[in-house]
Amino acid sequence: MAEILSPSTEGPLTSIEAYRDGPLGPYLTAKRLRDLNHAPDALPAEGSQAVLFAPWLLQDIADYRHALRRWFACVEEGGILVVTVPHAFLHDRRAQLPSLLRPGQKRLYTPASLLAEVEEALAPNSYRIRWLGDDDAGYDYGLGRDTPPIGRQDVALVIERIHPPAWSLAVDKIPAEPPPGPIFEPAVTRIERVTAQQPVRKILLLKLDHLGDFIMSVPAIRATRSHFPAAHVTLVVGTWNEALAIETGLADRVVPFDAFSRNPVEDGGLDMVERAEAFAALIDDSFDLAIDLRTFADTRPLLSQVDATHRAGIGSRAMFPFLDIALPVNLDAEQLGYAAIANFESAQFKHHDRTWCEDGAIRFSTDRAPQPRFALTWGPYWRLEPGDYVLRPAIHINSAQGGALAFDVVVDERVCASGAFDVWAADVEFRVEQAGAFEFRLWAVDGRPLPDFDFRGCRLFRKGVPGDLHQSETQSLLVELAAMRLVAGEDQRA
Amino acid sequence: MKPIVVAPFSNSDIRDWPLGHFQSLIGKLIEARPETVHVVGVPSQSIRARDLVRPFDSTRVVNDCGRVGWEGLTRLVHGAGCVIGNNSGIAHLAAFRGVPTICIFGGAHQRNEWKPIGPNVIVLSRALACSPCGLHTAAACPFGVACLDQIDPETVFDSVQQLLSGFPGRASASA
Repeated sequence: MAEILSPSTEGPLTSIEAYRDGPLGPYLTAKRLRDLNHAPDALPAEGSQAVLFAPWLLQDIADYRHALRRWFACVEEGGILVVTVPHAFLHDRRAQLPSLLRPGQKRLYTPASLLAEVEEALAPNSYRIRWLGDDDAGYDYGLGRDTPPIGRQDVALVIERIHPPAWSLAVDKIPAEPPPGPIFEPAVTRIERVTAQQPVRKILLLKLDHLGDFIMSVPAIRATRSHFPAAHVTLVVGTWNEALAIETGLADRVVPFDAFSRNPVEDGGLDMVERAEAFAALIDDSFDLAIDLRTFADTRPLLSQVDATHRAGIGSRAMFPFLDIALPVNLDAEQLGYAAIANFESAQFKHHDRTWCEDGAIRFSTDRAPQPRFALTWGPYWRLEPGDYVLRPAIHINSAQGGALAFDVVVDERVCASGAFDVWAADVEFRVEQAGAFEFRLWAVDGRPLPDFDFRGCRLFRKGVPGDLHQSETQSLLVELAAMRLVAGEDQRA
Repeated sequence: MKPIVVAPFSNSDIRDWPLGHFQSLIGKLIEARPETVHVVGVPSQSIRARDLVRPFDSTRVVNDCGRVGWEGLTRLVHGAGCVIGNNSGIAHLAAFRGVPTICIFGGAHQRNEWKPIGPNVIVLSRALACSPCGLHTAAACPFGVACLDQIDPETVFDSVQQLLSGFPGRASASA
């Protein structure tokens, strides 16, 4: 404690007598009062003092948390710690260190900064602040800044030690149940370190489809060249595209290989298993990066056989676990002409009180409720524009009971589709003529028993939408993704 | 000597490693290493930051939470020897700027989608079957946010040591 309690100043400014006529006077009257100004290194026993007075010490102590904690520990419950420090605006008359009057001072103080140190040092609800303020009794504001100040020039603080309550401020996070264990990984902390990538020196590009496809891939091949200018690029194309590929000058080596027939309609398809074996025999080199530029998935098995540090393709890693760089483009719109526009959870639907919510589902059981004759669920009142839609409900029906569950789709009270599910809930197609609030409802069917069911919500698709990405753009995005992963950006090099 | 910056708070407490774990980690760091630790955050996180720094020597663990503006914060992050944070903005900023970064990643989100990226980042996470849950508050988790609670301070400390040693390291797993 000797180090942290070294006295820094003496004289009339820190004499306890100088404070008795000011706002601290009522707090400095106890018999068991220790004035640290006289013997700062000799702290009394813990909990022994009614008053501990620490005038103009804290500002010179580096570890203020430790000092405040030790001083406060000397005070008995109901006792007080009185701390004063020079006021930055009255004594130092500066907003930043160093203090011209006391060059060794560690910090400047205002009431707020002194209080912040106390709140850092002492446990909440072990104390109460009884007085905090500026003590400027007799301060001469008429003096110039270069003249030593006259009068009191303190920030003063009075802290009472209280008996702490039994409760704490911590928010308890008591688990209601043990967490589920890992499914596919051991119960360890994963530690994944990402470091700067090794340079990409050898690249294999697969562009195995037809003439138009190759032409649409030229921007992606050019982008590969641009992002990896020092790399040796091998480009594998159908024999019909070999001459064109050489003509572009974008690859260092062009390898012809037919994964398909030249005209699949006229010539028929090829056996992809046999083609994959032939491909593996042809491309037996190793690469830093291999990219399959075909959007359709049928050439991905060829990519899977390439010996490459990074294999990049369109699709998800759920579909192709061997992909190191996967661009999961939703090709539904491009290939099927419809796209998902919304997912509705069961919580977005209202339900009758003869059904109940459990585990994210609205449930009905014949054991628990009599068969109702009104809507069981309804919602979500979501605005739909005119167009053709497909609704895919997530409903599990107990088909063994032989009942039926009626449904209808309503937009602003106009019924757009209706029917009944008995074994499973099939897709529901409907057309919206006028924009309005969309509602999907489930009902009992007259004359047939209502089976037990779980309703977990539904997914909504819009039909007839144009594809959002051109083939050329999709391939270029894949190359950009590979470059993002493998080429450090300017910020990351800094 | 470059300081170590600790950013213990995010915008959602389900992404926050327990404060007691951060406290243990800071204790290990100042015992084993010479750097100063700076705790950062916004003013609304100040009360919790005071709880965090309370046990420590104020010359070794500096409470900057709520006390520095954006400019000061970015300067502190850019000048750090290492930044330790949750799945939150400061970890992303540090990683993006190439500052060695430790990210203690909770299970609420897909780490492959949301982890900080940069040339010198270590991401620590737990494999639990309930992840990703998409929950927004710790109170909503029935498992006491086990995905973060089970990441022990010793493991994070070892990762900090590895990162500060400059050893390039490789992806690995440890208990």
